[in-house]
Amino acid sequence: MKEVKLTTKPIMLEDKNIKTIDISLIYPFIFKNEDEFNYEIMVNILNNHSHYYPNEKSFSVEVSKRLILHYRASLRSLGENGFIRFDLSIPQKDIIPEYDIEEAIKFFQETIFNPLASNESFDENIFERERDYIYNRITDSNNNSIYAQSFNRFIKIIDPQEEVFLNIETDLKNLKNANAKRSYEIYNAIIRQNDPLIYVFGNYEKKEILSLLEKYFPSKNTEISFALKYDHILHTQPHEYVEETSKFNQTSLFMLYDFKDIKPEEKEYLSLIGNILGGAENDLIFKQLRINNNLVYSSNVAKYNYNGLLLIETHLNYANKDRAIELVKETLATLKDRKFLKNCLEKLLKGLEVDMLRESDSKYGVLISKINTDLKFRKLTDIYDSYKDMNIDDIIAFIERMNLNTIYVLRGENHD
Amino acid sequence: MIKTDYFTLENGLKIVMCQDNARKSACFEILTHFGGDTEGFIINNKKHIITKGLAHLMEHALIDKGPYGNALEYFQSRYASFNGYTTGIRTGFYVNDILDIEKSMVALMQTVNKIHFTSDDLENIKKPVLEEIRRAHDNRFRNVREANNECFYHYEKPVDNLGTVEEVESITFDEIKLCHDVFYQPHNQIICISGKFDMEKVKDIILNTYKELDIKTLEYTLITHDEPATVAKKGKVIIDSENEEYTNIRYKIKDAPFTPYELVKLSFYLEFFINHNFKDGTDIYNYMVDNKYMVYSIDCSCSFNENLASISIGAFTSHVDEFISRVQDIITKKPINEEEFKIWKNNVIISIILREEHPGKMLSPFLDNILTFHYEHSDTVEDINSLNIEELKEYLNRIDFSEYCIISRLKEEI
Repeated sequence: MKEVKLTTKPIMLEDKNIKTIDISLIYPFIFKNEDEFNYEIMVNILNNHSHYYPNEKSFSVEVSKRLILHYRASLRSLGENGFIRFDLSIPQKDIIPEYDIEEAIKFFQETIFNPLASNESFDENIFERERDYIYNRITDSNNNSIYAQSFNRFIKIIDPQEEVFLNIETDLKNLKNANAKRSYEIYNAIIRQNDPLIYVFGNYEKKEILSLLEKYFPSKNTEISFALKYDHILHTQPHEYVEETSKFNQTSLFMLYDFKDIKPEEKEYLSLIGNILGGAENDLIFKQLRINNNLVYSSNVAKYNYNGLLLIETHLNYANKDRAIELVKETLATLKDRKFLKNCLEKLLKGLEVDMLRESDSKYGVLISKINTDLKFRKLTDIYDSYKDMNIDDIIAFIERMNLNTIYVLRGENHD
Repeated sequence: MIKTDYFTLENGLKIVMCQDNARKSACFEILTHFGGDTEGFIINNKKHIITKGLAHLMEHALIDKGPYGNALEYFQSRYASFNGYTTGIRTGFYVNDILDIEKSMVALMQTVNKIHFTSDDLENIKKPVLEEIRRAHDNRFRNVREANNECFYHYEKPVDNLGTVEEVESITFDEIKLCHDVFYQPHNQIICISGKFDMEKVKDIILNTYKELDIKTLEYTLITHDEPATVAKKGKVIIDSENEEYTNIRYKIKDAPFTPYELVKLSFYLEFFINHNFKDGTDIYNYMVDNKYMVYSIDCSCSFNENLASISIGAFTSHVDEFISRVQDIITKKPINEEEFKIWKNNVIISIILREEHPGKMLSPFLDNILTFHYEHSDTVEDINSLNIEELKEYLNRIDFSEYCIISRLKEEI
């Protein structure tokens, strides 16, 4: 298992062409599924409340008063790794005369370290409010969105043991079990007892920012480490064809592919195939289903790189599903043609070069790239380098290991 | 340093430019004033009523079969991002290119301004559009929007721009071609370009491309209707056991007595007023959530279209009276906090300054001022500095809030 070691000394990235200063704090932790909503509700509370500004209105007025352009707490999880992130964006000093950036950074610190809590628990009322909100969000979405419902039903079939995808019943159970005390306990463990990774980006005086960070976010350690547990290959039972019905107009079609004996280190091959099938440069599935055959309005290719799966998803008229399935299979077969595949790879590489240019043109490109590098998320240059070095025969050999694991159809009865 | 410019060519084509040569990419967009709500036209004394869904089908057709084949494929092969969209009043096509915007611009102008599809092609092009219509029928807010339009407008305003399956199937090639000839004329279009480009060169390229396209001028009269100032119905209750309960009040404001510049200011004032009184943490929000009458935020929006404006305030709640009475109370009393107004103003000033970071951020509000308010200037710090509470109150008092409709979607009859 790979371990990541990172400094807690602030990473300072400057751009004198922009007019803002961004500070990001990232706290890595081990993500436990049963606590998924303890994390989420904690983050929601930290987003809109603090001990000093306990309601949304006073909190947002204070954010505005201190000319904070953007404050956000967020949560990301990948495999067994979780990351809680706090972002602050403020104007550069010279924009507004006498603007006091210290007040903004102080607010940032106070918000993170003085949450709306007492007696080792988050505020119960607010916690319940957030729980109600999430409950409604999950159930309303599942009942009334074809995209949510079809995916929820699909994952129950391919991952009944919930190794990778938690089903909606488990989600609701975890939500019910979430509580303000446990959530606060987690907050303590992840945030209060640890040093974050700190990134500063923008147009600032280095000395001034460093001294403010030392004042408000003094570091106890100089290094943090965490084990990378992003990968979990899902070995799912094949299902030749499963059909269920729904109240919707459209029919959902999911075609899941797995790869025989895939290892985590082969994920770049999976990603390559997914990008050829669904990325803008080649977009083979969309071309076949929509442009060439007018069967669908849209399609999507999802790459579950860390789980060894590739999913092709579309929504269409039930009468066209067999033709769509055939066309997807035909498209995949074309990938075994050496010349064709080489051509696709060349377009993909050129597309990545253009993407890297665009990234360098975007305001936060440098910051995003640095964070992705540190946390070992795949970034564009890594993807480009790994694709560039791939051998066509190796790619074809990998494609030969591709299996159609499951076809799932959620038939829209309303249309019929 | 971002340079902006706005001018009209001899052929009537309007051009908005936001140049920033510190960028690497550029975005080029063509907007045609023809959308899902365009009712019809009179040409050579003959009246033509446009089938619903035609503008959107035309968008698909122009993309599907252009001078370079399918436009999506063509721009993808150039590593440029491209798309089209249709609203009630406009159809837009845009391309974002980091390698060669000049080439992409020409290709886009050629794609949009000439028909390359045939009658046979049209039947195939309709198929994904029909799928899109089916997709739209799965939208859980559809019945609310339908009811809202039914009550708000006196004429039959479609809930989206797609048309029905029957309407789209009935559209003929001749009908589309005629609409294209009528509406896709330079005097009915506006081109926007932002990012890295040479202003003079781009102007020449546009001029020359339109010259080569040689688009014939067609005289026509637009068929419009004069939407009354009153709502068609005071309200509607929808019984829907499947979807979330929801309540909405929508105010109709016709011929509001404001000059274009005043309308721009009004849009800022309304943004403050609505956020100040309806967003999370406000009294009405706290009342509704604390009493468990709702869990989601209150949704608010303001829209302006020619001489008709609407302000819409909604919540996922079945407690209609509790919600509506409080909204009406706020609209009547118009509570405003001076301190919060000052704070809001400072934040808007900063956002105006920060628009200079990116030409896209500059272009969008400038274009909005031109298209929505017929005000041909960008917002400035001085404009925002001039906003004041007395004027805000005076503007709100000028608005007649007496025309409104209330829509509720409930799981069962009360």
